[in-house]
Amino acid sequence: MLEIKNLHATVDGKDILRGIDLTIKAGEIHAIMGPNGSGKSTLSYVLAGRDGYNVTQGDILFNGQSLLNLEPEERAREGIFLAFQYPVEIPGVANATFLRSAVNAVRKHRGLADMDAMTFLKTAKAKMKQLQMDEKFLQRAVNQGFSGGEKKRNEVFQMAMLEPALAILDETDSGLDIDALKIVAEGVNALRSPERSAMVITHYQRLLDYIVPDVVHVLSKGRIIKTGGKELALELEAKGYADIVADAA
Amino acid sequence: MSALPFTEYLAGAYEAAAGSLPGARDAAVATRRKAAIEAFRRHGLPNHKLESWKFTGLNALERQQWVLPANDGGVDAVRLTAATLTIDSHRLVFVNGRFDAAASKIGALPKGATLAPLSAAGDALKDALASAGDDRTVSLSELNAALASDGVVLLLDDGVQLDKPVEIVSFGVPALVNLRHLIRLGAKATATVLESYRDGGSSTSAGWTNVYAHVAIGTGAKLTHIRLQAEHDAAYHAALGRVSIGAGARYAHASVQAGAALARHELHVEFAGGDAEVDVRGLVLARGAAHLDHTLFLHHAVPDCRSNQLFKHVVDDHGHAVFQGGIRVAPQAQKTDAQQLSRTLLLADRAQIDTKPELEILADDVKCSHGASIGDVDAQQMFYMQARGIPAAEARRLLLSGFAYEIVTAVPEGALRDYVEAFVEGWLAKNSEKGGAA
Ligand SMILES: Nc1ncnc2c1ncn2[C@@H]1O[C@H](COP(=O)(O)OP(=O)(O)OP(=O)(O)O)[C@@H](O)[C@H]1O
Ligand SMILES: [Mg+2]
Repeated sequence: MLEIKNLHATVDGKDILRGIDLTIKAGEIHAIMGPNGSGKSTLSYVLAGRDGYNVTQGDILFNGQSLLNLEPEERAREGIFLAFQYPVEIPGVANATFLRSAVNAVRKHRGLADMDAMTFLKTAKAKMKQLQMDEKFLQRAVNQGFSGGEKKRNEVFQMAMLEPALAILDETDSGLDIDALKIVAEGVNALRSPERSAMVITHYQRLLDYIVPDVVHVLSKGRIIKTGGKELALELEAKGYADIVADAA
Repeated sequence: MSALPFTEYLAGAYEAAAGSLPGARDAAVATRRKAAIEAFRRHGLPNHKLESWKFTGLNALERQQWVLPANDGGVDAVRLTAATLTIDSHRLVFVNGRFDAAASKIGALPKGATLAPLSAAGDALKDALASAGDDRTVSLSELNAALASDGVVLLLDDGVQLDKPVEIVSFGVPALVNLRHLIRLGAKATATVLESYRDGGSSTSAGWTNVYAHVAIGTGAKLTHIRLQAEHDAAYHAALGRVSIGAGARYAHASVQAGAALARHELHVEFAGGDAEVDVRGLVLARGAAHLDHTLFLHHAVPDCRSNQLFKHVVDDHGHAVFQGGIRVAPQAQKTDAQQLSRTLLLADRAQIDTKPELEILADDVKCSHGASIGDVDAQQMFYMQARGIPAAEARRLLLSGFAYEIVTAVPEGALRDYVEAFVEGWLAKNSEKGGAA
């Protein structure tokens, strides 16, 4: 599904990603861990196509097609979803308005008719119920004044509505209380299928108890320095990054 | 180019029209009008040398030979429906600067309420003409007093509540139209007034609408006043509102300007009694070569009053927005709370804003603040929306609509807000279609 080949990227002229190779097959969940500042969010932005994140070498293939010349909205419509580490507040735009535009943009791309307001509301409310989110969040401005945890839950809610083929979750667990963590993990697991994949960026093994990864990667200084099974996360939790980073150096 | 100087040309137009203006047979009215045209002749149009006219020039007006509107004309039903509220209102429609009885409907009024077109307002005409601008505004306001062909008179006695909104709709024509309004609310009276200035669609050549509104809000009274300026793209529009506010009264004003080639809405508010509150919000939507100006002067002449000004500007193409926010706090006006904020989104390289706070604070125990921001739409917000699949143009439109939201929501919920919101959304959609400068 996703093939990242020798990916180098700069931000503001600074080399951040320095040769990443990573393949995620359909149905797989990959966890990315690594110290602060190692480039995890940068990788997620590069995948989503953010302006100012320049790929200087390598390629990203999604279902065999290069993403590099696609705009962020085109990538999203192809089925890539990024749950932001820091969700953005949009004053004056209701969550429902925003999400309906998104849903219909994706539907249009898939050759489906617009979802009418009634159906949208029904679907949205059902998904919110699963995520134990108050329906009031539909009428509130996007993320504005949401608590940290509410913002994260709103990201997962959007993902549930858009049903992406590849979900990239950037520290969606941080800021969540224990109950919320379970609910959010269930939201992610509900989307699991042989056709869908996920890249889960996290600092904590705990999330991976709920969203069990097939593969765990350690990112350091813009490179993947170790790859293993889900037990790698346990090892990191116990020992920290120091040894692995030293071994790689 | 007229052979005569501009002022003489208009004085001539006045002489020719005087006999057919409302109140022509009343000696007192005739004297007032005569004095007004003389005052206009002395002052001429305001020019750049006046501090408050530094950013907005009226030279273009002097290059035209203005005619006064003909005595006839009507508006077609489609245009009328599109420009009016969907709910029951007291509606006064003006076409060609004259009351159009067929398109208007004034419903049953409570006891103690007077609502009539100026041309049929009897003695109130004298009151309406008596008011004048101050040094900064006298020229346009006197021109208006001389030539006012119609307008609205709304008088509420103490305690009278007007349930239905008063809807004033003027359709611009290629002529110089002078409308004059007098709104006076007695103690504890309440009313909602919507003024809207629309494109009459009769011609592509430019008209000039010159409006003067005198508003007096009594003790504990409440006026909600919405204003929409959506004239023809080639038109000129100048408006002056003079508002006085009694103790414990409230004035909520929202002004949307989105039409005309050159427009200025100037609002002077004077606090006359304590514990009164003013909330003035404005939205400018400027594209093409439109030059749209809001100039405010809020005078805290007495203690214990609150005022809030929030103005937002969306400027595309080589549009030009002007915001001048004047606040004066008199030495005795302690415990004044006066806030001002101007925010602007410039969507194109050649788009411009002149935003200027003018604070004169002569009391020491006050809370006053002002701020201004100018920028393009937020790149992070754009990316967030695009990352959800929303096309850039639509993301931009949603962000602009979100930006305007704080102004739109100043309008009371229901048909009135729907009306303003539909207008703003329509403008944004049209702007987004043309591709904007995205
Ligand atoms: N605009 C920028 N200019 C310069 N450096 C940048 C810029 N944006 C990010 N960086 C740097 O890139 C590096 C990687 O940042 P990134 O946000 O990808 O780290 P991360 O692995 O997600 O960290 P965390 O675990 O703290 O979220 C950091 O050193 C950061 O300071
Ligand atoms: Mg990060």
